Amino acid sequence: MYESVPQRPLPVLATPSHDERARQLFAKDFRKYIMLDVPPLTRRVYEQEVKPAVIAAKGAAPTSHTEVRDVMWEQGFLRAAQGLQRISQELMWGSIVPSVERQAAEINARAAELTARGVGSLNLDPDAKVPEYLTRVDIHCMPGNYHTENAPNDASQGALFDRGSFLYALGSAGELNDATGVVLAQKIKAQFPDLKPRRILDLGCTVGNNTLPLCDVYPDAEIHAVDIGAPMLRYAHARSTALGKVVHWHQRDVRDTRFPDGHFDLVTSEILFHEVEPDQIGAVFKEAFRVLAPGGVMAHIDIPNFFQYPDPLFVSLVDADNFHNNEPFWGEMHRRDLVQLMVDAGFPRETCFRGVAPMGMFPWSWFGAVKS
Amino acid sequence: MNKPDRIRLTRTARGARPQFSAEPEVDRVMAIAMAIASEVAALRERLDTFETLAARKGGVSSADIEAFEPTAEHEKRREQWRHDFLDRVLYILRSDSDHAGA
Repeated sequence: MYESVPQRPLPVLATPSHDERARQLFAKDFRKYIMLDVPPLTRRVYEQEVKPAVIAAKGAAPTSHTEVRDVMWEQGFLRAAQGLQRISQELMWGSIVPSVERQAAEINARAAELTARGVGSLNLDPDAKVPEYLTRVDIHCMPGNYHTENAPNDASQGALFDRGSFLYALGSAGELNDATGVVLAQKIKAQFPDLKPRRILDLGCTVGNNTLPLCDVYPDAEIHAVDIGAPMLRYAHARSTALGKVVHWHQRDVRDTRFPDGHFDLVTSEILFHEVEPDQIGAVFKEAFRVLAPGGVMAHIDIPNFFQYPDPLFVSLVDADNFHNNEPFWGEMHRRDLVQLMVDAGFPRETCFRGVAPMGMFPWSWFGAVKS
Repeated sequence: MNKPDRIRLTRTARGARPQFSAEPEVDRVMAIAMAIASEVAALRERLDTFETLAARKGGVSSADIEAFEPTAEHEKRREQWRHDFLDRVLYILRSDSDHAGA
């Protein structure tokens, strides 16, 4: 299930020392233990102690995940388990930051060299404004978030994200940290076999790890990707160049990409929407509709829709990132009527889809529409 | 040639840290304990590397240790060790769950 593979070394990825590597892998396995070994213990506490106590007091077991969370929190075991989950996240970033920091100057120099080779293009906008909703907290506790410039022309923050997101996925994202992108690209190909996109736009691409599988599935397409974080894009361009993939990277707000109307045949994103303020999801759909040509497809993949599971304890556990991991919008998109938002953006209702894409332990969420 | 200023990355994520225990001190002790666990794990892995190399060639330098690449099978054993180590360090969770409802 969690087939753990090492991350493939790349010229822009930091090379950990012996002990840095050991600390990073410890942080990964600490997280894995919290995610796989501790939940059955939590469930025993709930089933054997907390639930019977609630039934004795109120005559019925809790039905909602928020009720379960409250009574479990009160009992105390959950506080320890989720306190440790938070620590595992902090130790993960804490094991990577010194390693990247130590090599930041070299990483930035190598990124600049690779960018100078000119495969694809890097289009930064010094006037780009980071959306307010991305400045309140550092998402998933990554110190510095997506946009902090550690130095002039910084790419090292991208190296931090590439390694961190790899470890967070417990090594299950593949040696190129691209499992989500591979699943999405193949799903689109399977669902829309006749789609022959001339141009593709990938939204919220970060370091482009999940963008590049689109190059393999659609080798004839011209691929553009946007993100607001300049260090992510510098890293993305260097990384794609090192891997021989041609992508045009742009520093743009996903709500205002500034591409011409009808410019793309396919608009995608991977794990973007759970980091978009829920009230802004509609604005992203509208922008996708605007830049799509008639007949063009919009397709997104994101975190599983945990809320559909009929097990309130399970839901309360997976919802923890929302409270404890600086993921203020985590899960909220699943509570929104995404189909209605797509319809409001202009997509015909009969073309809208909201389903699942199998990956890892739970089916991930996939949704989109076709512009007729 | 002037050496450029050392690049510093951000150390702490922006955003309030949630409180888990009734006493904030308990959260701190927990964080310190797990940071120590991480160090013990790194130390143990270094020793494991050293012992493996020493057995292989008789003399081992720190450069040898840095250059050491575990095989996939060896890495699996380390992963298992880290799991079992966490089982020991976090024994209190298993113990609490054993006592649940008793």
